[in-house]
Amino acid sequence: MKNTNKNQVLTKATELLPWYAIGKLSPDDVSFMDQAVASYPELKSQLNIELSTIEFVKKNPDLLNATALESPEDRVNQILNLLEESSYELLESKVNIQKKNQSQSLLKKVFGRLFPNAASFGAYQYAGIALVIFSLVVIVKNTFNDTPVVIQESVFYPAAKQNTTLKNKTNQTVLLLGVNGKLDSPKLLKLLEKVDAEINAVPEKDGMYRVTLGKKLNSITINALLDELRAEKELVWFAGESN
Amino acid sequence: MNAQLNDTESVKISKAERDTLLLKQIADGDKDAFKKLYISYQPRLIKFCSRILQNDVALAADMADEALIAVWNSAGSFSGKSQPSTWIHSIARFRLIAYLRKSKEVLLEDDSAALALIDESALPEEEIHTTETNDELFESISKLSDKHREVIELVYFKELSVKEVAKVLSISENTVKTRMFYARNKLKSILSSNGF
Repeated sequence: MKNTNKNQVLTKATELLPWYAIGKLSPDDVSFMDQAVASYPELKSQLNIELSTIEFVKKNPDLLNATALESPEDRVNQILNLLEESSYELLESKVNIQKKNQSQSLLKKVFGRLFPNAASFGAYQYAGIALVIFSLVVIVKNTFNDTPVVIQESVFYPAAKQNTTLKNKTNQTVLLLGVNGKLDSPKLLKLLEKVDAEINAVPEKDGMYRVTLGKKLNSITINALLDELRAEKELVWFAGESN
Repeated sequence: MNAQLNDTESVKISKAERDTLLLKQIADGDKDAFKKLYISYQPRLIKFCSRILQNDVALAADMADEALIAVWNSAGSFSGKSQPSTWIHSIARFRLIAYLRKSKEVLLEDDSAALALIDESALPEEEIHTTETNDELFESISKLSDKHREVIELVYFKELSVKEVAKVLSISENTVKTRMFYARNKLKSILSSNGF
């Protein structure tokens, strides 16, 4: 209630500010503004800005015909320069992603060759498999710093509502994925399962999928995952992440 | 009427084809293609973003740049299943939502607040069908409109009250306040980009 009142006061005061600054308000409005400025320090600083603006514009009336933006041509040239400067950094990051992808496919190949008939193994053989996986994990983790390679069994809920409470554990990464269409192809679901993903929120239309991953991922791994997703779906846009 | 529709359709198709080609070239690192695409889309993206960002044109231009940089980085992932314009505008929309979440401190549980802000405006795709040329669009978003300049002159230079401005312009006092509010916002963008 208090906040609503504050918002109403600030909205009205912000509208009246120019006339307060030039001294052209009715006595009632002046009294309202005096109280508002005394109660909310942000209005005081806005008033100072307004006064300086009026003074500056009066001295430089040509500014009323000035443009707020550089031309698109100038801006795009600046962007291209910026992209050129950061291209080395991007290249380096792509190499890291490739290294990580190679490490994971190597893991799969080794596992496949060692245990081509894994499905028919008896219970006693799983201990041996677990040991091999653990050893490989240690080797790969030591080789490629900070790259998570343990793929846990996943839980996946395809159609939670938008207002579903987010599971927000500190050891998880939460991605917000913008997808042009539905995030519904079996291949996509499989990819998300690989990182122990759980979709917590599905938008009604053109919003974002909120996907909780089973572990904390670093930015390189997130980019690699998004690259894989993009290869499957036309638009997968990473919009944000939270702990 | 049919002929007109066909003409419109063919213009749309050729623009889509041109943009698809540009995206392919951008994916190969073609900077000239990126320049063409940027100049074609930037004003519309700024207009879309500025409406959501309460006419903060400078910020809207930064958001448009971010979206177009993302297009540069991910042009290779465009497969042609949808219109290039839809794809590009979707990227801008998602950047905007991400920004709103951050700046407005919208809680993760309350995405709907950020999405509602976006939904209040026209869909970005509708910007494509505006009849304004890019130059006209750029002019309208980057400069004070005649109406805004007029109200600022009456208040700052002639020092007229709300009532007096309303009388001079034959508009309501509420319209005077609202118009002045938006004019000041635009003026702030102009001043800040001119080093004030």
